[in-house]
Amino acid sequence: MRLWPALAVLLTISYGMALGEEEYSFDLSEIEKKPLHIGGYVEFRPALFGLDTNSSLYKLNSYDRDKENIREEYNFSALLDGSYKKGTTEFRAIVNTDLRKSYLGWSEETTLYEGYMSTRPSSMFNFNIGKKTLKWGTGYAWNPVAFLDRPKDPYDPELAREGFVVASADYIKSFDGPLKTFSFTPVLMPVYDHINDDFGKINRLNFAAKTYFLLYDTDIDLLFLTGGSKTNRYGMDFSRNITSNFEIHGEFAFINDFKKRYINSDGTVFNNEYDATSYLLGLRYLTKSDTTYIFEFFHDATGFTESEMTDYFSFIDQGYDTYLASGDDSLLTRASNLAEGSYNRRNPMRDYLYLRASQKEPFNILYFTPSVTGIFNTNDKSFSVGPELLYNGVKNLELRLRTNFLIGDSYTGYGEKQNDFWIGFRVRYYF
Amino acid sequence: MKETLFSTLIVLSLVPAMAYAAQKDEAKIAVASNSKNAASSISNKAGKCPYYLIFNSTGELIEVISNPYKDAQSGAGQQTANFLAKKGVTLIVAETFGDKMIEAMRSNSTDYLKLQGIVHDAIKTVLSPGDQILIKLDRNLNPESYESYRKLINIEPNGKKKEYVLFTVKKGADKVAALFISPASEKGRSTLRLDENMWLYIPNVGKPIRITSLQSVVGGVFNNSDILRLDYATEYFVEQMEELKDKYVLHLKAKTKTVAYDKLKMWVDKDKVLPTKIECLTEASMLIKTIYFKETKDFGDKIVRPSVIETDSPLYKGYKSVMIFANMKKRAFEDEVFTLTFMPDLETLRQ
Repeated sequence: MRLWPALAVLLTISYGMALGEEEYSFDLSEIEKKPLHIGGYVEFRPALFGLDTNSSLYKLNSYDRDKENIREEYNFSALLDGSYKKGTTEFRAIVNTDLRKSYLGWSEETTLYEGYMSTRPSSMFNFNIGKKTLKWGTGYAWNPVAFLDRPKDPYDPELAREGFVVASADYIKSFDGPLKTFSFTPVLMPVYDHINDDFGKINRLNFAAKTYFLLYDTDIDLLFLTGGSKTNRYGMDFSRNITSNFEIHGEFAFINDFKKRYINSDGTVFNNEYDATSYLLGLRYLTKSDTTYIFEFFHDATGFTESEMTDYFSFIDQGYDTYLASGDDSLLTRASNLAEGSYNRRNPMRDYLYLRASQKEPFNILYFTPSVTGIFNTNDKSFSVGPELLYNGVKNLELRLRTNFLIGDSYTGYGEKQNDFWIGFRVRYYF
Repeated sequence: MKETLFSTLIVLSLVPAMAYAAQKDEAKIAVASNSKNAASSISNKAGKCPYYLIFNSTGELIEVISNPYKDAQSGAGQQTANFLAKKGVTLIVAETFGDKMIEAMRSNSTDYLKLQGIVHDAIKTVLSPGDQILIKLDRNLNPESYESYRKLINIEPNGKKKEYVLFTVKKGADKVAALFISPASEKGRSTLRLDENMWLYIPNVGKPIRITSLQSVVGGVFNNSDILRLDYATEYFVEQMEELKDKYVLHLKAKTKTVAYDKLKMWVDKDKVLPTKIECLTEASMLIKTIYFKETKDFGDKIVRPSVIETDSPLYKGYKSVMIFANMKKRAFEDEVFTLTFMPDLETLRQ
């Protein structure tokens, strides 16, 4: 067993000699494969929020607190990613701990993002069981076909890392000709007490599948979910490179019997059931000066119309006025209960435009990427815009400064968010 | 005008049979065709194509064969390869080949080449000395299927370095994948290229996303197509060739618009048939970057090639990127390894 380090040293020396004059070295111990791997990162994220005390969502969330114009928040996170491989089987766990100091005081939360066993008897088959993310869809900011994933933040798509407990498999087959790849991914997802119980109706065993084709140089997925925890849904997505600097993608999702609960301005709750068809169309374009543009249009048929959102905001205002007059917060509590999973989504309305422009290494500053992200709500003309600076020039260290301004009239999606702006810094160290 | 003393030959104007015939006096080239004449398109089914057009080493059409195995229920590729070998065919050209046909051609010592387009143009390409050199150079640079490790070093003008280590696997003319081993911030990230399709898998994102070949996954002077390079002959044809005292200079033009660089100017060592320098150019001949091949090394198993590649670019003045190769060895892979679905599992290939 001691042969390998000795060999690595010997090879390193010989490489050093061969490459001596250029002073390059390649220590072959760097490529040694180890069965146990532990990595991850630690990060610190201070943030400052500029509050809009007249907004409906500020009133809803903070009606019982003294008015504040600015809030600070300090987040410390540690993510541990460990894996152990034996033969064709791998055990993997990703655990995240967040420690937060906010206006509510200190809080701590530890979450198992993923924890599964995976076995690959051949390059054509793969089986997984445990908590895992599936990440379906080709969209960057939104994924209407991600039937088994948690919703993601369009400003930080990497954040949605927590999976569900599933049993899944992959079958892959390659071909010559126009159809180059076919793969089939069936998924079983139990939803019972304490297992995926935040996904939908409990005591159901759900079945979903994704069929992937690389056909005429186009990625195509056909997807479905059935089983009863959510109503049946079907989807299709695609992605294709048009030229060496231009890519297009899209997603279509059809949801059977979608049930929407909404409230009018006097507090009457309505239930509406309909078939919803959502879609996303997008492109990625790289200019000669290394600017990457990502543009997407998202129509979410499960979202609220402009008048439904206006009714909701005016109901909150009414509840707030009642609270100020009598101390009775029952209307606000009702509004808050209704918000869960619907009105409080990051993008609760129907039509959004997303544009992200990022410039690779401007002014010859290596590893520096400034960018700006804008999301425009085409229903009520409100929008958010956020510049960002990212630098990862120091080994394993990533620095990110990001701001976001939310702009809109009264009773618009972004106009009634509780923040006018926020600014956040993130320093992350990988190990 | 001194240059003309050295760059004496524009080989396209030479007798086209020279190169292939020089290698194989009795060269017989079979091109899979969709009809009986040379103006037809090349068939995309080598085993089951309707016709094979047979050319001699001067480019003359000598025989039209109706493929006896075009309707075979199974084993068409293998039987077609054996049939053509018996007829003395030394090189088979088609748009695609099945694995079993490739296996049969190898055991028959028949060469093969994947080409798209018109049969007549394919013959021109096959018989062009420049393209022959390019095909040989590709095989000298790496076996058709192999694995290797690479270290990428980006060097800034102040001497500051950032290093990445990648595990790379390649199969055939159009399949290549790379997995980042270090640093920790990049570990598990992988990139896949299947012909002109490219994807990037980032563990934090959790799914492969389609990317374009001109983007850079590591920053610095190398871009995706440098890191996931296919054989030069797959992406370029030789537009012009100059012959110097100890070098060839090949002027390459991209076969399609989706290739990262429109043109390459490649200096090739005559004896070793290995590149020494490549200039990557835009369509208007503007220099994008220069690649220098250094430190030729014996990797074993008859693989003798440059182990260090340096790159600089007028677009990044003072910056340099270096690629060091190690542990390159022949290895066979299943096609399924080079699929988007397999990307998160590339680590399982490391031995």
